[in-house]
Amino acid sequence: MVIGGGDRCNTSRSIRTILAFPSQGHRRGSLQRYAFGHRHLRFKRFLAAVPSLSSKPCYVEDETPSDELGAARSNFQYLQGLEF
Amino acid sequence: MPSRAREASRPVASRRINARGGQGLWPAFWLLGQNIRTVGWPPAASSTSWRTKAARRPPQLGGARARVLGNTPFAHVRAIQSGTFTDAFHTFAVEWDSLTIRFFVDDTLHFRVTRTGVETFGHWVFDQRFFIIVNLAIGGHFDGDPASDAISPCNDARRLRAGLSTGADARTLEPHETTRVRADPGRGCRGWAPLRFPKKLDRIGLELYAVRHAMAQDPERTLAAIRAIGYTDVELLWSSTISTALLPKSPRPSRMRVCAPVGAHVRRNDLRGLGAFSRDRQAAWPRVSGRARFRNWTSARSTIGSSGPTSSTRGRGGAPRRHLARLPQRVLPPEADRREGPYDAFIDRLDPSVTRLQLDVATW
Repeated sequence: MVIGGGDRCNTSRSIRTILAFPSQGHRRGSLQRYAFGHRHLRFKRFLAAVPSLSSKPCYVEDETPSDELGAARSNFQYLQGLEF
Repeated sequence: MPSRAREASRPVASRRINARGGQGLWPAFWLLGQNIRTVGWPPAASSTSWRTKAARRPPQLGGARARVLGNTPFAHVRAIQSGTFTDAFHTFAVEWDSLTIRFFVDDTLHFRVTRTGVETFGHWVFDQRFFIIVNLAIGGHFDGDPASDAISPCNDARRLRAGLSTGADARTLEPHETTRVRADPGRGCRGWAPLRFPKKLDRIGLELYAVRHAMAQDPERTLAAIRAIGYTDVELLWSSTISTALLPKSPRPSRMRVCAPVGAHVRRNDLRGLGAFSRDRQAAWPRVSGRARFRNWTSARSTIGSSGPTSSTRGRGGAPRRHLARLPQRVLPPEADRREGPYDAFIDRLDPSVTRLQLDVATW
């Protein structure tokens, strides 16, 4: 987990306000939508390492849903059910 | 130990208790924060120094009272359906995570206290270790003084019987005996295990761009649907298609916090050459907005008003992005020697009072 030469978990400590959860990634030069928890990011491990998480609103960023409200519901349910 | 509690991954403290009855006897099951020695007794602590917790559920003759001590009003009495709590063993349990505390009697939810409610009166302090105390108090304000010496525990050592885990393990506590054990998540009270306090996200928002088509058709109904799903926040993500279309028309949702627009997606390479690593070039920050990459910041400012500058520079190839809302109006002195990379140095030099930073975590 390297970002700009540093550790992203360390960087998360500098993020003081907001985390966002995009459900879209870049793969092979194209945008690809995916479901939360199906990529290599270990949500639970990351969130457990973020200090003062309760003061950092978390937003779902879903840019290409086929069923907008359905995706909003499933994304919310995934994040709401996370225990870390 | 109730099966439900045994299967839960969150901390659970439970006790099977058979309390003999009598006026003035106050059998209690407590969870007391282990920082009790440093913060003092909860009721005596001021609201600012209130850092410990105690929850108790004394089985009375006909009712059990759950309470969260400290400067909070949370207390709730539940009557037993038939008979009294002195007739047989009953299991009293407290289960908690980062958002709620739940009180159970015989595996039935009895009372629930939320983090939001607690934080109305003070800090949330339930993410620490606790002592479990099973004791029998006599007299006091809760049930008055004993009406007769005949019920004194000195005359009957079985006034309070606490089961360690199952009925077979139940043993009698001596009148002077107080047990102190650590809560053991998931394994009842049979053994010792490190406590784990699972946390949950308590504020989950949605960027409205995700429902832009529904918003364009019926903003009010869409916002109502988002509220119904459970989202607590919405963000008016700026883009060429949504900002101008939605911002003037869409009223602010009445019961949702709105984080108005957004900011710039900045990728690593955008920061290079901007003086992010040079103290001497910090004064050149105002000129940054004139660069082509950040030109939208200034134009968006006039469009969106006070919501801040916006840029649509995006990362590619999996490069992490950050939204930067509101240009740094004042650049903090650099914290030299903490330069793990361009982002870290960049973030260190922003003023958190005027800059909103957003970390996209799922594109890694």
